[in-house]
Amino acid sequence: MKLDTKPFSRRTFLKGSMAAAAALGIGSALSLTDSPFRKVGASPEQEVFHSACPRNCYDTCSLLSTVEDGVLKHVEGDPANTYTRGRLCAKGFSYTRSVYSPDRIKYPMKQTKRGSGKWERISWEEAYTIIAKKILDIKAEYGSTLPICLNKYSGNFNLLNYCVEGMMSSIGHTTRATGTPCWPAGIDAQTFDFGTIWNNDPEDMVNSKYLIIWGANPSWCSVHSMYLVMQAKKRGCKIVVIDPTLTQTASKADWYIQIKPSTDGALALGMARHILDRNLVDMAWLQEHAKGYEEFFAYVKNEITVEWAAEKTGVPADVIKTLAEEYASAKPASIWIGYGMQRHTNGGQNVRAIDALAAMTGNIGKSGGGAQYAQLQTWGIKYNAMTMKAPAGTATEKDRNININDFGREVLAQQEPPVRMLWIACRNPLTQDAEPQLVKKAFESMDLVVTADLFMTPTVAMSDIVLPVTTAFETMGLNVSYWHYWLALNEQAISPMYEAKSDLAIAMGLSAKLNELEPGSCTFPTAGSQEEWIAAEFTPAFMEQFGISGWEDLRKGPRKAVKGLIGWEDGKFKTPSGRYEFASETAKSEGHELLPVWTGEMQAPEGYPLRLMSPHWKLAINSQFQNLDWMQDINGEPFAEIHPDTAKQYGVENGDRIRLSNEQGEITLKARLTKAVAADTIVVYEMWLRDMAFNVNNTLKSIPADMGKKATGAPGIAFHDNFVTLAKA
Amino acid sequence: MKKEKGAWWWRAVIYQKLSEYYRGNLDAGRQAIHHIAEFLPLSLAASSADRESMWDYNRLFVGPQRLLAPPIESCYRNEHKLVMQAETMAVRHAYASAGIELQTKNQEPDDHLCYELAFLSCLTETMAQEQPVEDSLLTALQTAYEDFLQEHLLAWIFDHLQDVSVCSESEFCRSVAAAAAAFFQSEKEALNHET
Repeated sequence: MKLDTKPFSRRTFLKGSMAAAAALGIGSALSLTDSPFRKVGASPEQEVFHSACPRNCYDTCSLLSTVEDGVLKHVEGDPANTYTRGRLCAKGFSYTRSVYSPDRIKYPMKQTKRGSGKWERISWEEAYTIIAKKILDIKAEYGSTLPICLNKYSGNFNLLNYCVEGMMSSIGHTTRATGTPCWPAGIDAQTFDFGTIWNNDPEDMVNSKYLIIWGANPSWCSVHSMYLVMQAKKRGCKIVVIDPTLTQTASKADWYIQIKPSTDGALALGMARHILDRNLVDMAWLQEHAKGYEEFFAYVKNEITVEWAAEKTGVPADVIKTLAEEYASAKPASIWIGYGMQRHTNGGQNVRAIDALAAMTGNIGKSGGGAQYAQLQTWGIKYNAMTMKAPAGTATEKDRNININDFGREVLAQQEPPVRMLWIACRNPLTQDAEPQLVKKAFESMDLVVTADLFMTPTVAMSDIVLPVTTAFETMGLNVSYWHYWLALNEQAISPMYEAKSDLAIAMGLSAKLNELEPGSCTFPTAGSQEEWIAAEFTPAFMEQFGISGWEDLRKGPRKAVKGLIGWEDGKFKTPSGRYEFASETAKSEGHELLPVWTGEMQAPEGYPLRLMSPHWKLAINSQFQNLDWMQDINGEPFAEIHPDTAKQYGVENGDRIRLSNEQGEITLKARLTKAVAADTIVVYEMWLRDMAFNVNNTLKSIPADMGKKATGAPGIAFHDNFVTLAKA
Repeated sequence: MKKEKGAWWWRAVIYQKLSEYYRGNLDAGRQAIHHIAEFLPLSLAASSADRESMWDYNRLFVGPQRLLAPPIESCYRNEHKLVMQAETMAVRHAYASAGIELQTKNQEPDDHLCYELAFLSCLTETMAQEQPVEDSLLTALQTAYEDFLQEHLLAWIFDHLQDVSVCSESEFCRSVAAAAAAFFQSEKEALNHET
């Protein structure tokens, strides 16, 4: 897709007179002292750079960026990356629209009063001074930097951006928003079962004979995987999609199975019962590799029936049986466990049940198999930018962790010392968090809020200082994926626009100012070229994993890991027993069940019978992209997908404005009737639209998912256990 | 246009002051009003810039929220207000034809109003020089000046100044815009007389 700007017929580019002027050498006559001009230099040739998309996305694309005369002309996928295959999603193609958006924040600015809209421009020097003085004042008053709180997450996954955590560590100990909104329940589940997360290389998907995509929507969220899914299909793989909604991915499946939200564990257990009944278990694999399967099978035989599972999930008994038989008989068979699926109060436990299916059928550690969730195998850099020592004389011993998924509440609750200052980077809490009303209160109670961002988000609007940051094209970076196995260098393609700085430059600049005001108050290096910072992240093991001899090899293009592409192929699980654990003492010690038993889903509370689900939107990644012109053109307003039966119940017709509400808050938006969603479930895609106060999280309470604390430091959040009532607006 | 050095000198100063104003020097805007009032001549209201004017100025021209009156040619002539597209490049070519380019090339859009004004100030200042300027050079300068006005600045400045007068919440910013509008109107008429 290439949308060029229309040529303007009113203007001509090179008039004869202009050429004549040049010929007459106007240039030499012009006095350029004190002028913003200089003599014109040679224009560089067209250049193509290797870039990488640093977004929180399975696909982390390798890009080729074409630059002419220092201007980014267009961005395309790099064919050298066999996962990217030279193609991008709509968001990737839209990058020129964000780099050159008129809405980009250009300069550091200071707001007279948070939320007032009265901003004054300040220099970087002034910005660093205000921030540094506040840090030092806090330290003097409280004897520590714990009142300073960092909330950073996935807005930019350039590995060098871990410098922000490093910057915080380098001033002392601080309060950290810990955990992750995305995927922690599933990570814990796989930590209990396997020892850690480790999916097969997605390019291996083509070797599956049976693929269940369970609660994931790669057509929208991992578009490059869909090529692989379709290749598998061509080779005879049956594609099954299990989802409460008939998503675009489901529309491409051989078999779509609609399930009641949050009952996925029941379906998995029902399937397990039938697999046991039909003797389709891979006992040999279990004997060699698993622990606790006898207890698990006893539980399933005694407590679970296919009929019970059918009633629980809304999936007919004969469907459960056929699915179970087909999955267990196909060799190999794979399950893709989606992150959306585990955003429930029983999400982690449901993932454990699905993992159990893969294990009991011997589909672990095999090409074409797997309980595919994610991997961090390719993230083994040194974390040099992140690992900074506290300054000499620091009285505290460690950081204070608060739950990122209950941020507003936890910030306000901190005592001895309270939180007085926020640093927000790669994050937009005012739109992305549950209970945004409480998050706003937390912001209001601060002495100083500093946000580093590209655009004026609601978070920036509630900040004292905004620091303009660079896009991926204006700085160097290093990028990997939590799904595929490629490593890419992000070269700097163009100069930073206006006064934008990378988070790394900001860290160095702040450190210099802190040390100027109080020598020794910050250990973050104040110098170092981007190349040096990149080089410092490479270890011999990391280079060996990718078959390179130095980071500079990446200048020639992205590289794929040469080993470890099939999860658990060596059968050496990272659990205490070294085996796959159906019975996990670790889970028990964390307060969970020993076995992947059924844990009931959250019931709709009195008065709020409708479930509001907020999945990811195809034209956005969380609060990025939807605000751009191309996306606004395609879709300019939020909408609620509602089943015609439910709509009829409430007297709602297609296009009517409806209000969805509960005690937490409300949203008002257009209704779009569709049978793709289940009755009693309303789907509103999460996105941040330009010029709109719309926030799907207004009704979302901070209800924790069951798991997440073990591996990520805090429980996840049950985004999709959001219950509301509906009225016509 | 007559080769009145006086008039060229006035223009150079006015373009210079307006350029400085659009680069963040609010007082230069006040000075511009005075010069415009004398040059046209015209009675023009002038006030001083205070904190309110500064906030207003930032909301109109600087940010961090969406600019109410973005002082960039592309924001008025590109379909989606994107900078560094064909519209910006056209201005870059205009500068290059005169043998110059921005010192901050590729860090800022070439078609930011402060630079378009600086360009015109540069041309007119050269025309206003004390020592005799060769006829052919003078003609070339004047042609460059007229072409740039016609093809670039005048094609969008009135829409921009209209946005300022509608969206501004301060007397100060409105008064600078009104003075600028009067000046550019006179520039436009002078051009039309010539052709």
